[in-house]
Amino acid sequence: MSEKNGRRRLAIIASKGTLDWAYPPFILATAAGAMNWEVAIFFTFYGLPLLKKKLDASVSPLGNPAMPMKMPFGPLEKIDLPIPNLIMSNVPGFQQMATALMKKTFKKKGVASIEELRDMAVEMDVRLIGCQMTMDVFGFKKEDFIDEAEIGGAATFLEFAADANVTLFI
Amino acid sequence: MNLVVSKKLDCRWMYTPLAVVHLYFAFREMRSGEIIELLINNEESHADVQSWSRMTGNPILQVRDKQEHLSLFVQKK
Repeated sequence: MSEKNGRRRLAIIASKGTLDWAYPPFILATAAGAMNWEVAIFFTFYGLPLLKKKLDASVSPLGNPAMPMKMPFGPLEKIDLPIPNLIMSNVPGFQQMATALMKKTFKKKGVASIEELRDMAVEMDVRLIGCQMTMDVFGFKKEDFIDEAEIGGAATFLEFAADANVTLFI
Repeated sequence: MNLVVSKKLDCRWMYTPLAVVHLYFAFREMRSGEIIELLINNEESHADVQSWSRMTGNPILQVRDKQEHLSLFVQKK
């Protein structure tokens, strides 16, 4: 428990920015926030775009061989569509389609969107820390991010994580 | 036991962490001793709310099985 105020602490490093990998940090952060834990997420490398004002996370079935490709509705809903990598990598717009299908399926099933979870995290005063080094390397400016984002580095994260009960690298 | 419910919260058809997140936001607006009736219809939410109750100390006073869903009566400590 944090020595400062007796609250439990969760420290997360979010290093991936695809739609699928955007979920774990925000789900865990809001669940911990709901239990009145102190939470900080450090966004680095490909996780950094999750701080952008307008989120555009997508998902690729390419390189995710375990990802089921299903239609969100209709007669094919229950069927796993086996699609060869050759098609997925060569058909233009396949990734956009896979992203749209995943978003639609999630919405239909009652899963919150990343935007909703992030808004809730902000409302819970979860600290959202953007990595300066990644910003400079990939050309992000602080104005690209939501107002609640703060800027920090490895030491910023470690100072918070030093008193954390749970620390996760995602 | 007859419980006086201050608020009803419908979290059916929702997945983790929404039930506990909605509980948290609802409890922020409520006073100590007040009771929420929380509707859920999956095991995940039930497990989540039990853990949340243990972690936060807000007790689940009663669980009613309504066939299609569970009604949990949660009190703000």
